[in-house]
Amino acid sequence: MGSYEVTAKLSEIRGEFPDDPLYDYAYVMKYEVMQVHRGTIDSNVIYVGHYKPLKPRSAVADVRSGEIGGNLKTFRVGDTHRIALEAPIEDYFMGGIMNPYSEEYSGPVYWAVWTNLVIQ
Amino acid sequence: MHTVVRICIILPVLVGAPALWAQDQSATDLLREVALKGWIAYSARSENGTWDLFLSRPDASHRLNITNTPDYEEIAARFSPDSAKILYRRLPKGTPINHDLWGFEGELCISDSTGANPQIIGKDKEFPWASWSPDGTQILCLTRKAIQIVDLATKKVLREFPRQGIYQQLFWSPDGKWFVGTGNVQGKNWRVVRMNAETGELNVVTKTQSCTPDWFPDSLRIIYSTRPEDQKSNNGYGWTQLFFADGSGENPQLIYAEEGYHIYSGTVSPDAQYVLFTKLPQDGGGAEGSGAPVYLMRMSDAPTIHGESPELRSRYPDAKNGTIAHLFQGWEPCWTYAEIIKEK
Repeated sequence: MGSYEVTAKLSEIRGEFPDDPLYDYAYVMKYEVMQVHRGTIDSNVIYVGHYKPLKPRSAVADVRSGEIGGNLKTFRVGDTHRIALEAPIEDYFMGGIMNPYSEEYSGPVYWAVWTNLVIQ
Repeated sequence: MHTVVRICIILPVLVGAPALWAQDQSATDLLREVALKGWIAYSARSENGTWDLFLSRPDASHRLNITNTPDYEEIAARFSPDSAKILYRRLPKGTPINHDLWGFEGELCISDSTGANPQIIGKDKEFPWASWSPDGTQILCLTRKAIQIVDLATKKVLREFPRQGIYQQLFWSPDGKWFVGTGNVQGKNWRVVRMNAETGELNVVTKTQSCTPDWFPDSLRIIYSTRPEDQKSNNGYGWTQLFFADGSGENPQLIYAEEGYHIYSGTVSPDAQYVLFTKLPQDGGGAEGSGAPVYLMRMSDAPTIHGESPELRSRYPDAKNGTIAHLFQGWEPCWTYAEIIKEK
């Protein structure tokens, strides 16, 4: 599942996740790539959109997102995640996308299919 | 005698002009003014507890349940351009209606505008966000892959456009030149955007968080709901307001707002002289519950603000206190001036 798979450190969450259960969205976060397990990713920094970031990954899938998941419960800067990805996000997710990096980065944004916390 | 005809003869006696009750004189006058101006189709919960499709006169009289199916939820009726048909979605009984996801759900159906001869056009979740082409022979769909124009007779995709961030509520302009939808723009979500139907070129219509766009009959203006992010009232959440703007995004103008209520389901009459909308204290338009009270207003009364609404009145100092008339409880109304039901 996912054309790409990486282990990456969540290096920045810019801004705050809106706490509005009425409106679902994906939020774009910044990662430092530590290891690429599947696919070709040339950059050490990637931008990844996570759906409903305030909820555990196991509880976010719906008709809008399709099949997504993982064991991560909370997004914390500095944590390491193993993530299955697709790109670009617009080809895999049809919904609101909040991208705080849109003015400084115009490359592909990845879509997080599943996200597991790496225990180090 | 056909069932629909028989019902029409009886109903004027049973439910004639119910919206005249308990409304002030100006609202009563407004209702009388529109009483014979065609029909409104809308979704509402029926006595069997499911969502059904209804027709009523624009003064809320002559209410007809035109689907009346206890095993299904029918929602989001829209008249074809010639008003002969309606397009809607049908979901299994008990399926929750989500105000943002309903266009992805259920089967696309088309029936006569009286509800007769319903035809299931697609499988579950097929033809998402389908809406009519200007001539009624095609539908415009919004899939994850692309915006698609589908021929209704053959169900073949005739043209495709990249979505360019549009993710819900896609409608084709009556003149065929434009699409309008809700999408992501420059890192922000919930922006109303217009797409050129020939070239796919996109322009931003709204710079504040907005949704549920629809066309004016002239194809030049767009009606939408917006909740500007800089409001202080409602603990900073603000209130959703009904607006219209040119398709280019210029000349945004308030139609109706009221602190304490979120305004949705905006649609204009076929001559753009009147506007329908819902107002509800809870955000979202009421799809998850039983809809919301539907109101009628003259466009010449825009901009109108009701209630004390101190922040709104400060923001829009020239707003009037126009008349609004309550019609019924419902969701996503749609208006035709065609006499789709012959009354005796």
